[in-house]
Amino acid sequence: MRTYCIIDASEVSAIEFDQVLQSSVKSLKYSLDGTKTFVKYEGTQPFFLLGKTEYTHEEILSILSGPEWTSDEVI
Amino acid sequence: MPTTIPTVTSLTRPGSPSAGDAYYETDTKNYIIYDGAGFWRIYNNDGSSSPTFPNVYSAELIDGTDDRVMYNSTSGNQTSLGSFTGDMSLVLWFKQSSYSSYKGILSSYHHLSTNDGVQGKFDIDVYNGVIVRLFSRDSNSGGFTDTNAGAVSAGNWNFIAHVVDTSASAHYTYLGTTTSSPTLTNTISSSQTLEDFANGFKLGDANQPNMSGYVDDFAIFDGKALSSAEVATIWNNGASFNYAIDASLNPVGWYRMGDDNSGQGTAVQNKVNTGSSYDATLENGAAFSSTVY
Repeated sequence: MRTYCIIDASEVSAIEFDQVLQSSVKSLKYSLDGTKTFVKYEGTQPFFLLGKTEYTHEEILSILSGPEWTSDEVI
Repeated sequence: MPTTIPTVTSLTRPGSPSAGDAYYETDTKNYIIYDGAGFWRIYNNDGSSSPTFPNVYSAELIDGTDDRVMYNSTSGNQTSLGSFTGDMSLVLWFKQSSYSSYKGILSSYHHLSTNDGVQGKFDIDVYNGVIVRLFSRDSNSGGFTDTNAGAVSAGNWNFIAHVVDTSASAHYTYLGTTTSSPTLTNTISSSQTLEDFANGFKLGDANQPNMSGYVDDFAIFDGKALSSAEVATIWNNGASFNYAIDASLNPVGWYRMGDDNSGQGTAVQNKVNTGSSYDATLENGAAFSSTVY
């Protein structure tokens, strides 16, 4: 089962990509204002994420569908 | 004398089977045999004598958060597939497994300095698993929005072709399924070109939340506006099309999603422009799948 954590963009350099499912810094998806991103993993929470709120799949989908992450802009 | 195997469905398997009991599941088309140790041994249906989609492998976008198939020619190690400043076309098979609200199906890759790849300048998404929407922002003069470019079939494999015909100043969208041939569902009068595809493309990822499900057999053409007859040829009666048999089509990218490397690794090989600098990549937990369905 996958678990998700939102982190600040300023914390991207601390991501240990061998412990998350994201491929690289370049593959991260950011909030619309560029201040937040998220990582996902299976199993226990990686050490570098300790203290971060963990979200379920359903919870992260709800967050990513919100205005902070998804634009209603049509043109 | 033929043997007739008794039938069940996946929901009506017998509750107390004996070892060796065998059935044909009419809904999954699978052959199942009880092993006497608590498990049904399942022999998957792998197609019929009539062509069916997909072929063996497809790319599975598992959770709909950020997994995708990516081709990023701005990364420095991949080569642009073309300029895409004139006629162009793209073709994709996809099957969604989640249908709520909007799901990104395909977009061009747009390089941004701060948050890479947030949004391409051309997007296709699907609303509630059915309604196709198109967005183009590649220039100030010809950008367009179309919030009803046709309907797809939720839960099934869908075929989409988008064609830019500069001589007609038009964008055409064709939609089909494995059992219905593609039809022209939408025409937009616009001289808009889609040069953002020179930066690459994303499958399953666009301006809306990512799709979850499967994508397969993506092809992209530079300098060519597919005709309706060519679109029908590529649809191939709902089966994977082999571009090697028709040199006139000449895509610059043809991504079979694991069928060229037995579903190994994360590189998605380009069947027509070979070499790693033309490969796309499974990103963020996307995986090849050989699930037959």
